[in-house]
Amino acid sequence: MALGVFSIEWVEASRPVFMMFWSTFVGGNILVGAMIIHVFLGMQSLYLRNTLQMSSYDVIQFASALLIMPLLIPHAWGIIGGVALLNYKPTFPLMLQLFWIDTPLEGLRQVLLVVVAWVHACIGLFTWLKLKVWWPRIAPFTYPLAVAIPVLALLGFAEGGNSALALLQAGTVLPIQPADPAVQLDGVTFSENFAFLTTVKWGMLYGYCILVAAVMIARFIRLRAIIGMVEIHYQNDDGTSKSIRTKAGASLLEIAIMNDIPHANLCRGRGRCGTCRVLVENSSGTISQPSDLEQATLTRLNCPSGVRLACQLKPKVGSIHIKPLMEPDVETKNLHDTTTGEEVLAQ
Amino acid sequence: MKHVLAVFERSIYLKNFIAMSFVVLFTVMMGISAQAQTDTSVNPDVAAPSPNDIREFQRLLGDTRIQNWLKQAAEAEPSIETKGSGVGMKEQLLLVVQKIKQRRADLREAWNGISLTPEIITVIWQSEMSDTATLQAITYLVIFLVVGAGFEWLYVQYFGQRLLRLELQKFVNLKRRVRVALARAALIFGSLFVFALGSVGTFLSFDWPSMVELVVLEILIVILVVRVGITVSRFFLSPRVEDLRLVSLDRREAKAVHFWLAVIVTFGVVSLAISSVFEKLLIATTLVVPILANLSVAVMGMAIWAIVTLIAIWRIASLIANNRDGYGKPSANASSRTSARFWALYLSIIVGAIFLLWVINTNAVMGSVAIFGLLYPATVMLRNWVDYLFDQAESMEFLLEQSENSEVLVSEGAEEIADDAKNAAEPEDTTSYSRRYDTYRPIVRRIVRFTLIICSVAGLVLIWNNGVFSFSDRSTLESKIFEIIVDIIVALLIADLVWIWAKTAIDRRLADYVPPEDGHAPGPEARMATLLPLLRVILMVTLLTMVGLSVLASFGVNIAPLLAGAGVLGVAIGFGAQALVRDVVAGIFFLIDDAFRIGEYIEVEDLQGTVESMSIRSLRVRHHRGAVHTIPFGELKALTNYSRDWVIMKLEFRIPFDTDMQLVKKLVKKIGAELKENPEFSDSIIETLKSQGVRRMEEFNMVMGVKFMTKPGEQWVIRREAYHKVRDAFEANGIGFAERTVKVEVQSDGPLSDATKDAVMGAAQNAIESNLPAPPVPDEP
Repeated sequence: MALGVFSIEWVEASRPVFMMFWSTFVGGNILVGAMIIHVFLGMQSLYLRNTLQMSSYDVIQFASALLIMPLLIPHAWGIIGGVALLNYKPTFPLMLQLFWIDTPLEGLRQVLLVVVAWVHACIGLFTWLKLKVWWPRIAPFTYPLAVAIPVLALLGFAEGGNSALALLQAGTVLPIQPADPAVQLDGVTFSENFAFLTTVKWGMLYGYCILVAAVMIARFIRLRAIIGMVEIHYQNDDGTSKSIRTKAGASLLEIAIMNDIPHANLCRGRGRCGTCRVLVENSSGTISQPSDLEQATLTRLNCPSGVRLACQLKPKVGSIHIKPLMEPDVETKNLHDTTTGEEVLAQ
Repeated sequence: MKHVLAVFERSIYLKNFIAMSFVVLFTVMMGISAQAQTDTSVNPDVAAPSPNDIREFQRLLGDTRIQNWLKQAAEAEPSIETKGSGVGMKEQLLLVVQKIKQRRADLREAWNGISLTPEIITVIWQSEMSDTATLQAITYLVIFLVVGAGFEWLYVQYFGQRLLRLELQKFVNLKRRVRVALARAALIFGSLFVFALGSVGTFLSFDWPSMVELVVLEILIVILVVRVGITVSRFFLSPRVEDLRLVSLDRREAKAVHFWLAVIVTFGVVSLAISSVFEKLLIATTLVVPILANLSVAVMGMAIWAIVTLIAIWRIASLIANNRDGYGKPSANASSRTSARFWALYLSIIVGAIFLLWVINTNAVMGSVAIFGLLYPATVMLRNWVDYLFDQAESMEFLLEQSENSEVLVSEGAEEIADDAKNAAEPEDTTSYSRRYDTYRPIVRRIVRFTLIICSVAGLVLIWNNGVFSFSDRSTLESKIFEIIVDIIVALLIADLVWIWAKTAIDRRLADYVPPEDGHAPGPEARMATLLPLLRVILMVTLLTMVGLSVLASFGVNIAPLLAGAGVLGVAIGFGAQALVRDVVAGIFFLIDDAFRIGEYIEVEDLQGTVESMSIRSLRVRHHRGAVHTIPFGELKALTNYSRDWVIMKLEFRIPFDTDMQLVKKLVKKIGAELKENPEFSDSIIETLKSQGVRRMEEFNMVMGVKFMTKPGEQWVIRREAYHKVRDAFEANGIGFAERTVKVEVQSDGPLSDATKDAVMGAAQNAIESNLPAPPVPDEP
């Protein structure tokens, strides 16, 4: 789409190349399957979250995740259904005309979809890549790309829309004629097909909304069991200490973010990087055993017993004394420097 | 520690007020900056371009409609001028009343049509922009925002880590804190700038249908202005990072104030933008619509804005009044609750008044009410803010000292160290750190107040110059009076500023001066103690004269003859008092040179004595035998001071040739040690008694030297003691002092006759007298 900055023809010419794999049967099914699995994983993590107060990155990640489906369903279904039942050929000039002239609301939706999906993908991808040894070296070159691609695509889309409008005004291109509702396609009229597509589309949208609502309700029921306050005492390296009192249920990292206490978290609470690890000095109640994920990370970092990941440890009602082990401004390059890691642990 | 507690206690009193005033000031500033825009919306028959955005203006300048309007306005201008000068006060008042009446009628009409307004808006909107165009505009807008946000994200990727480091810093002093806050602000503004660059840049690179352009641009501007407002508020309030906060609010309060400021800014900007867009739609439309539709839109927008501001004020007030600490105990006390309520009420009344005055279209009165009503709260707020910053600076210094102290006591437990350090630092806290900022505090306060008053006056002038009582004509009486008042205020404020600065500086130095106790040498600050009060009086007289002259000048009195007269008089007096002036000036320089201080023993030519007092002209020296010399400073040329730093005293003892020098050396050393140990002398002795061995040989004896070094003025007592001790020690060890003996050898065996004896004694006497050493120099006062 970024090619649209230059001309619509180029875009159209490049379409088969980009779409080659995804248009095949296997490719298409992989795409849809991956999407559905992604949705359910997202729903699971929403269900397991104890608080919705998150860092700004996570808020964007979650909001974009929830928005993708409503934005994507009309598009995906429109393409699948349109090709299958209405005999549309989704070429770029046609789509541009459709999006900019005939159904501008769809155009807006498409723009939003691109933006939201791209943002969601970038956050997910970068959160994962950030922990790799080689990432700091290539990151400065990757970031501009991450901005340039959607920006150029959108500019191309806008430019394409402008030229489509110009063509329309010049009279070169006629507005798309609404297909004759009575045209028969495999024995079903166009209008019936169209009505069917619309019903299914709305059905899917409503279904998604019901799914989200159900997950939220289930989560609410689950969270009702957690009542009470927890008191957290931070002991810093420089001898200062800080205490906060807050509702129980959230993880230590989430509590720190909610209370604006700087806390290292490179992987944003996924339990992978181990930068959020803290030394639990003492606790009034029992603390839960580390999960497999957490234990794996702790083992990998050779952490002594008593060290836990703040993003995984959800303190129970009572009080807990902890000591963060990493500086809040830790960077990926420090992460792989074993000497600093060991120094921190030796304390 | 007590001090720090007091600081925090005080900050609770202040914070409620600071928070709310902040909100209102912010609102009003925005309101005033948006004044012109609202002006246009209340005069529906004159189509004025929005001065808020120059780009828009430039575009509009190309518009023939606007060109016509400008021409009309240019033609109308002189007629307004002549009208302003021609009509008197009464007519002008009548005009105002008429204007209000007209406005009332307009408002009534607008009110009647208010139910139709949404419909009108929809109709005009649809006539100007089709649904397709609207959606396209939104699509474009989304694209621009994405471009801007993408750029900003990129910026954050490169600079985010730096920002995080800044936010994590611990500060040693206020200067550092402000510097970090500024660096952080620069980084945040950088990201905002990048966003603006991306979004507006993309916007500019497209060609547009004019209506779409107008709306998209307006929305972009709204977003940018809101973000600028939020960034400014973030700079001061720093809701997330406590260490960078520049106002005395805790985390919750800062967050609330930040949130409400953002809400107010958003509502204000959006309502202004809506009324501006609507007005432009109204001008562009070809449909016939009620002309007052835009008035009702503007009034509604303003009303919503005012209501939001009121809600914000009361929300913040109640938050501060019911503030609780982390453990749910109320931290605000009764008096701060009352003051929170009072200020909330006061500010609500001001906001209400401003809104009502705006509604009845008396913009000049509205501006004046805003300025007068907010001048006092703003003054109090800024003063509290300055105090808060200074308190912070002081407590930071205090903590710094504490940590320095605690470094000494590393072996003990952390809490004990802190406590010890607190106790240790407490006695000296009044002297060491709190004084450091005392000089600047009143000056900064004055400067802030000064700036505030000048700004208000400038604001008033601006408002009234455009208002009914136009001062564009300089010859009217009221403009004259106004000018005079402004001149006088400025002169007084400047004089006040200078005076306060000088006074605090002088008073502080005088307060530092502790008069020396009897018998002790005065410290180095004694020299200025004489001069500073005099300087203060001179400065006051000078300032009063200058202010008086400038007031007279602003009244139109010709002060040139006065100045000339004073000049002539000055010259005459100068000639007459030449010697006096020389004395005074020489005195000042001697004081600056620190040549002598009160209580010091000096010698000027052949006069000696202790400095007893200094006047502005002369020096009074008392000789050690009681005579008092008065020496004008002008007469002083070379001056010897015997009371500086140290004095070396050399003693001589005559001992027989057969004395054991080793023993003597040992004895002197012992005496030196004894003297040094004596608590009476130990402080005064710099180098104790030391034998210098045989200094020279004389006819009948050896001269042994002994020397010691003491503080000035103490040498006599020590010499006395040294003599006593040396004598006693020599006697105890069988060393006799050499006595003058004359051996007369008589070459005869027989007894001498009386005459011969006399002759012999006479010869011996002669020998003794001829060899007598020079009498000792009297060196003791």
